[in-house]
Amino acid sequence: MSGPIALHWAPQAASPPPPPPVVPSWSPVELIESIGVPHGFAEYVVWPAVQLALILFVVLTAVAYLTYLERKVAAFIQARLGPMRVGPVGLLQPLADGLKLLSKEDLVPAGADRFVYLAAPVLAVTAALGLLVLVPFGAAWGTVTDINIGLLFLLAVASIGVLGIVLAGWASNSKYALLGAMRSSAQLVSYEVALGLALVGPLLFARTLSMQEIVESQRFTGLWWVAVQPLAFVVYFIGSLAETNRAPFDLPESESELVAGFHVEYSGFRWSLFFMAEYANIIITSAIAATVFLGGWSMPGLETAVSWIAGTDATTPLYSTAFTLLSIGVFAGKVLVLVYVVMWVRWTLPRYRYDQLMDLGWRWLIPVSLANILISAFAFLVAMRPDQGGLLGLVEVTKNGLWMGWAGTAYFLLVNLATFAMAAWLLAKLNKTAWSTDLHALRRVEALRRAGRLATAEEARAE
Amino acid sequence: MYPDLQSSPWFLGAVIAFGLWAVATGSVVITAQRPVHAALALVSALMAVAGLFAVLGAEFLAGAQVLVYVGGVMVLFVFVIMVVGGGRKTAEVEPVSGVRFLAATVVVLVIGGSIVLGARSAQPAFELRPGPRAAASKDAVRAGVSRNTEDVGTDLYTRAALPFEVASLLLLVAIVGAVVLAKGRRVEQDD
Repeated sequence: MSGPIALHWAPQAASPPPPPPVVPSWSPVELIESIGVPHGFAEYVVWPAVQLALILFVVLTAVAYLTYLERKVAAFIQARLGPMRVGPVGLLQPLADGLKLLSKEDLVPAGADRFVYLAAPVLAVTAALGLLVLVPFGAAWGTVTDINIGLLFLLAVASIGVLGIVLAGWASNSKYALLGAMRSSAQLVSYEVALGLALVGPLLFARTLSMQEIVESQRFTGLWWVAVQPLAFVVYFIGSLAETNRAPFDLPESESELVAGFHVEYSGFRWSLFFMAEYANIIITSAIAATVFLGGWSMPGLETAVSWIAGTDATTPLYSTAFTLLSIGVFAGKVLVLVYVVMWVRWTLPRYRYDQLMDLGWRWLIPVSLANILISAFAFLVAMRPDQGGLLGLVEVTKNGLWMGWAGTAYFLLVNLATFAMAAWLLAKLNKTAWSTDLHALRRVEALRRAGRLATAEEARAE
Repeated sequence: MYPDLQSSPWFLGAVIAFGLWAVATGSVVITAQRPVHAALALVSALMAVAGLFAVLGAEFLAGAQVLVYVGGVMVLFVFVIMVVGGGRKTAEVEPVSGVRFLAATVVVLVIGGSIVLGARSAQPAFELRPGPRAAASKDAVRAGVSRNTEDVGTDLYTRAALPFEVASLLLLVAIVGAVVLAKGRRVEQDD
């Protein structure tokens, strides 16, 4: 403890850091090898192909049933029943819809840029599905691959999907579609900044970009990063709504002004590709939120539950299978809760006006996320051990992740709660002077102005 | 199987594939008649370059390339093309006679010269092997996951801190300029 100011009375991380949590070693690759497939081929070709086929099947089915869920949620919020006719409680409705869309004509409007028009929905859906490869669905063999730049790669490929929307709107040769595309590009470029900046906060604590290691870091510290980064979570959630074109930010496809926005000219299966991309993007943004902020597949008591089923020997196939399947269940539960909140928001809040949208993005979210990074980084530096360059010694940076005792946890909770309150208060103060939310007053002012203009015009005519 | 990607026999094949992809889409960029098609080809070329970065072990650069150029810059490119009307074919007339020949000569001389000079010099233009820091921290790394992001971060904030700050100053000047231009136009409209 030899630092510039060694505070020996400061509560140290109570106990020495524990060993890293267990990760089961067995994987189905061994099963594939046991039937005579060579090692490299089994590990890098056969098993990933099996995983990808499973994931595609599950996620595409989930996407189809999300449309059903959305209609049910909407119906219940509006005191209706929703789809009820096809199958028991309407459960076969997605199947009927899919068949209908497949059998419809694939129209290309006159004067459209044929190649771009046909390619745009494919681009949107490819970008969305390509992200699935990096989502950490579960522990051990529940994940396809894990790369050093996981989170960065997810954000990068997600931003390609934007191009699909923009090009679809442009290639349709239609005014409404073009307006939708222009709104979309401006909106997505603005909100991408806030989204990326919001993710920096939890990365300070996770200290890695790899999705699997972000989960492991939360498991090691025993804390979900939403507890120490509530502000970043709120900003990320709002930004992800805007990024997936969901209400209250669905301006690119606002049906009351732009008919259907960027996909107004599309029909049949290409139209449904846009919806597949939209719902797949909702799943993926929710999965990123669950991974970075809500602990991913980890859950307190998960290991205990596994040991009830499979004993405590982490090397057995049974243990590995039980662990992986349970962790996938935990992850799916977290993602579904977030997806439900996204739908709930859509059927509860009215759509933003365009200037309000830009206002929210540039005046609120970006300054808030920048302030959050600064304050979190400063608080983190102060809390580090003196010999690691800090001051208080409340948190220890170890090879496996952050180790903080109850004092460190309490410190970060307090600091971030204070940041949250301060940012909200300051921004409310700043924005109150810059922008009025009182629509009644605005309407009165507008009426008075109009009366003034009419009066001057009257005077001019009289002269 | 292999300690890193560069020592695998697939490395050269991947470099050549991504290189050919970049060259092919790059030539579509300059020959496409509609600006939107050129922009789409440019997206593809940028992806190919990102692939090259990834193969060479610069994963962070690959991710940043896609995020910044494809996700940000190209969306704005397409936005501008939409505003000015990207459907029209570009004009066939040459603004200054002989300018195409001149431009082609300059490009061939500069790029060809760089390639010839680069191939002749004994010093490789870039280092394929991981740097000393990456090698030293190998024990903390799980198999197959490189430390490229950490290395870029450490270099950016220590060795390259001054250029990094200067670049941010440049961006700040650009932002101030954009604000000044936007403000000026609004005052004109109000009159």
